[in-house]
Amino acid sequence: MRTDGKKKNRLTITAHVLTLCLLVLSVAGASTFAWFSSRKSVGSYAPISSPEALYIGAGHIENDTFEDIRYMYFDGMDVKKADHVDKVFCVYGTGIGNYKIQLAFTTNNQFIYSIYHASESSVESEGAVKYVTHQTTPQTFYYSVSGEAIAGTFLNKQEVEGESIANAENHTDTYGSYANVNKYAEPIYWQTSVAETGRARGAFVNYYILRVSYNGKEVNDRETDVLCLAAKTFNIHAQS
Amino acid sequence: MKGFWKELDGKQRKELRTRLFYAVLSGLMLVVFGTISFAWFASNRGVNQSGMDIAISTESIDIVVVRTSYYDAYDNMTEFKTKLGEAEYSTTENDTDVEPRIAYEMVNESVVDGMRYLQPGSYGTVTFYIRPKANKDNTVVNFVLERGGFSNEYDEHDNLEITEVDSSAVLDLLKGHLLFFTGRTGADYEHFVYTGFLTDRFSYDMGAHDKCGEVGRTDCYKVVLYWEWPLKYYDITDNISTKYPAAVEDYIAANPTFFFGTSEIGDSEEAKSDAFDDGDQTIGDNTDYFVLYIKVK
Repeated sequence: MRTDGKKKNRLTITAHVLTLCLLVLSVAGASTFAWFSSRKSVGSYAPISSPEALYIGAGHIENDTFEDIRYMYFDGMDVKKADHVDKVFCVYGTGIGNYKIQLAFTTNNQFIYSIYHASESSVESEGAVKYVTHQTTPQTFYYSVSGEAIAGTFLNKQEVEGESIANAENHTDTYGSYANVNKYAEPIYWQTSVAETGRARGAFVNYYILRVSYNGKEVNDRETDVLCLAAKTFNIHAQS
Repeated sequence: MKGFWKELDGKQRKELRTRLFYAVLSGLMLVVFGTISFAWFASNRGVNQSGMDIAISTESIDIVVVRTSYYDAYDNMTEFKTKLGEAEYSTTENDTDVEPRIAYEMVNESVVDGMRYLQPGSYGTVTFYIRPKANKDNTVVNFVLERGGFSNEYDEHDNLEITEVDSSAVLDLLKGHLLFFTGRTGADYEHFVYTGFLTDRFSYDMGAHDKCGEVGRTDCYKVVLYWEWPLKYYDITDNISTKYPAAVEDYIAANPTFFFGTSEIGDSEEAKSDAFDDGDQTIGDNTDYFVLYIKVK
């Protein structure tokens, strides 16, 4: 029994010494391996296109909630009450440096559309456009025009006998080969001349007021017009 | 020692033998790695490339890549290269040295709005050269392919911080949305026919290929990998065994998370198509730079 105990002790000591060696060698081996394996690699890279995040909403945007553009609607436009109607909308997005605002509209009513930059406030001021949000607890905001109407360019407008209507330039784009189109149903295309500024690095929101003016022109209150409002990313470097 | 051995019973001898074996094995490993390390150091002195060719080196081969200025004018590329440098991937412009790790440009052959950003519908190549060392001409070289990415993050002051993508969901999607092949014929996206579908590894048998005829690289084997980011899910499924090898179909079946972001996709082809599109969106939202890591095994 005593001899056995001795043997065991000697074995244990030897084993410990070996284990120690094993440990040291393993560490050396492992670190060498890590160093080595990390040293023989090539990385082939390419930048990825970011999906565009550019949207149009109605008034007031808050954190992740925004007012759907369907809340911007024209009802009961009374041309005798005032010479124009103002509606607020916003363009918001992420990682978009520049964009242009575009309009396409039919010309039954001979309205004049202009777009202004707007500032938001929770306090009412003269001439400000009131907007009540559609949140669970509705909030009221006021939007004031700042500066002049944003300059823009028409793509296909012509003046015929005092009326602004579309020329034939973009007929095919709109209606294809269909030729039987009323002259007022040919939409006029317009876009801002200078690119609007978003935010290339991060999220942004810009408020606008769309002003619909009658401009003293005779209006037929039974007519309907279609107005399309769009925002398009614009690369100011490419100028395309 | 001999006496000591005799005093042990069978079980003790076995234990000692096992421990000795591992100790010796560790020693062997150390010797082997030591040799390789020296080989690497040695090649540092001897191997210089002309022009923009740069190389990584192992005991039997060098991997030579040709760096270009392909994406230099792109947004944040300088910051991205700095980030690669921090990850110890050399991006130095005119380096002719042997580097431990090298990053270089993946070629995107499709142009959208004058730019070559990767996006669904993109396709292109990844090219590198294998230069065997003396008497290593018939070696089979094993590569491991890994997909990674980096993304642009901005703090409240709009300062850019490029971070490595660590979301396993996004990294998984990269495996299924950017497909790699060893062969391609045809002129464009509509007519390409791919062969040799690659997932996470591939082997190149130098003995089965001829060296390339390019000036200054006649001692190298040229390896071209072809990649594609299919535009639509149906672009893949409608073209199995015609444009894409059948292996792609098996891969989708075996790895639904790589394609649809979930393993619970069900059987509806329409749901798969939607999930595939969502996967593209997830990649785009979370990744601004793609990197294919080609590691010599």
